[in-house]
Amino acid sequence: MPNFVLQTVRSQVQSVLQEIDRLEGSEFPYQHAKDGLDELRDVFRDHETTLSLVTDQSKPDTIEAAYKTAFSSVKGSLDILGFILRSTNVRNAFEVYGPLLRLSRQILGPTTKLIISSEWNFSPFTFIGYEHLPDFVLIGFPATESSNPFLVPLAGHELGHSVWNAFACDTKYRKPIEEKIIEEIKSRWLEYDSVFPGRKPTELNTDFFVKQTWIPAWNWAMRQSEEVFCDFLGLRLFAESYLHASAYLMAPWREGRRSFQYPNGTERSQILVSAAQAYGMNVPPDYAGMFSDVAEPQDDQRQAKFLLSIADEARRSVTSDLMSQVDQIVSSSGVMYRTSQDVERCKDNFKMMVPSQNVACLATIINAAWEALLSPPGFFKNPQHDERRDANLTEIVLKSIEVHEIEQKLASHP
Amino acid sequence: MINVMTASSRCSLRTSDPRLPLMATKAAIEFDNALQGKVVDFQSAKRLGIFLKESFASPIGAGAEAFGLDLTTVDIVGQAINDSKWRGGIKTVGDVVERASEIAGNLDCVPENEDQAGLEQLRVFCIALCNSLVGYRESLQDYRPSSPYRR
Repeated sequence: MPNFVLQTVRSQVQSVLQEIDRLEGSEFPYQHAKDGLDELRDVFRDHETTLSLVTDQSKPDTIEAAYKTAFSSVKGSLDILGFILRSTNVRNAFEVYGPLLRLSRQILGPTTKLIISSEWNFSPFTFIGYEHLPDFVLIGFPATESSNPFLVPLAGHELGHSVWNAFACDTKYRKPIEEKIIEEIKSRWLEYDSVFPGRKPTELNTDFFVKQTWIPAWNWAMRQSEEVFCDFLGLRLFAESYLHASAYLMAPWREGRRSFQYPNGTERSQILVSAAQAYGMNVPPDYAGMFSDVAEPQDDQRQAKFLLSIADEARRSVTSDLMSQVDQIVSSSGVMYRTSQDVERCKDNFKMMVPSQNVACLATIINAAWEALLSPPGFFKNPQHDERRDANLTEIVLKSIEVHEIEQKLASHP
Repeated sequence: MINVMTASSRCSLRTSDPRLPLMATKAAIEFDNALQGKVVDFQSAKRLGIFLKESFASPIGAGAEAFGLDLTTVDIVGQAINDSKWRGGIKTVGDVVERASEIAGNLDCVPENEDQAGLEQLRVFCIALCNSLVGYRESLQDYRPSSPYRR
């Protein structure tokens, strides 16, 4: 009798392949989204072939492994397929695609591909676990904000995740973080012993099962380091505008539980302030004061609370190094940087509702945009333009980005 | 100060890579087919062997003191070794490194005259690794915070 679950998963894989074919019929504004679908099709064809290789003669646990693996991919496929589908939606600010692709390629190399999309979740995010799209940078904005050019700097954070992988930062930081975690546990042995009794300090780094008690702390410290690295990259690429965009999206969050993969809100903003100062940027007055902490683990989560405090310390021990690493990566990539003179000139054009020309980089336009947005009433020369200030600014900023992109294309293909 | 990195030092497959459990599954099917007496080229087994070899290639320190590895990989592979009862399981991190290197060698170069018990042991390990990897990927999905920080 045929294995029912195996047949079911075969059918589900077929459905995913059919869905990919259907999606391919969409009107894609750029090739990379289509390329992403092609790569996903290859993965699911591989599953289809693998499932066809198991037969009634195969051992039951071999059959189960085959359909379990395929089903896990089927389940995960909807996220990424939906993301690619939404990349076709006109709500996305397509004007930023070219400049962001250029920026990504300058840092990651000329084969880098980019997909910009939107998500029905109020958070910028990038996909994790899609390494079968290894040369892709996937950037998603909350759907309601996906045409908002003021949030473009947050793409710098999402680009950071791809940079972290491309520069093998995991490999570089796992040892110092592991060492710091062991050092911290040893220095707080009584606390550790109270939540994980019966272990010996000498077993911390040798015993496989003792190590499993603190691997969560190592994982959280690694993920926190990656997120801090991404914040630094966004900041280094987009300067002060990154601070404003981050505050726009994150400062209103006051409730909920802390994600273990990030420093809590106040510390995260303080880290940004320190980095901005180190990079020679202007920090808005009382910037860190705009952010708030959300709830740390409760006392009934004693293990998580202890391990998270260890993870925080381990991440702190590499924070200044992460700051320097990002600076060196960006400096050596040759990415253009905003200058205050250029920002002023750009802002002067905005005041006249004239698209800015000959701008050195996207960061100049976005920084000018934020300065204009935060300036006192009466920014525009024509008072009528002030009546629809935000909408007019958005329009002129997007037009300036378009002009910048055309200039860049003409310069590279004269 | 940690040395600056270059983009050329791209890392190989990571434990969250969906191709990895697929590779382990295909390797298990290869061993299953070989046990049925079919002719098999063991391509997936070889690729899995390379992944294991690379993952455990350069621990800092030796034996039980080994560190500087990707601890998620150590955890996942260690669980698979334990679940498959490979040569009596493991106790220390050094055991994981030693057994993983041994398994990598066997996968990379399956002896032509490998006996049924040897093939079955490798098949069981591949299945245990596949289960461990799929379990880890599932936990990543659960791990995504629905917060301003979701990514």
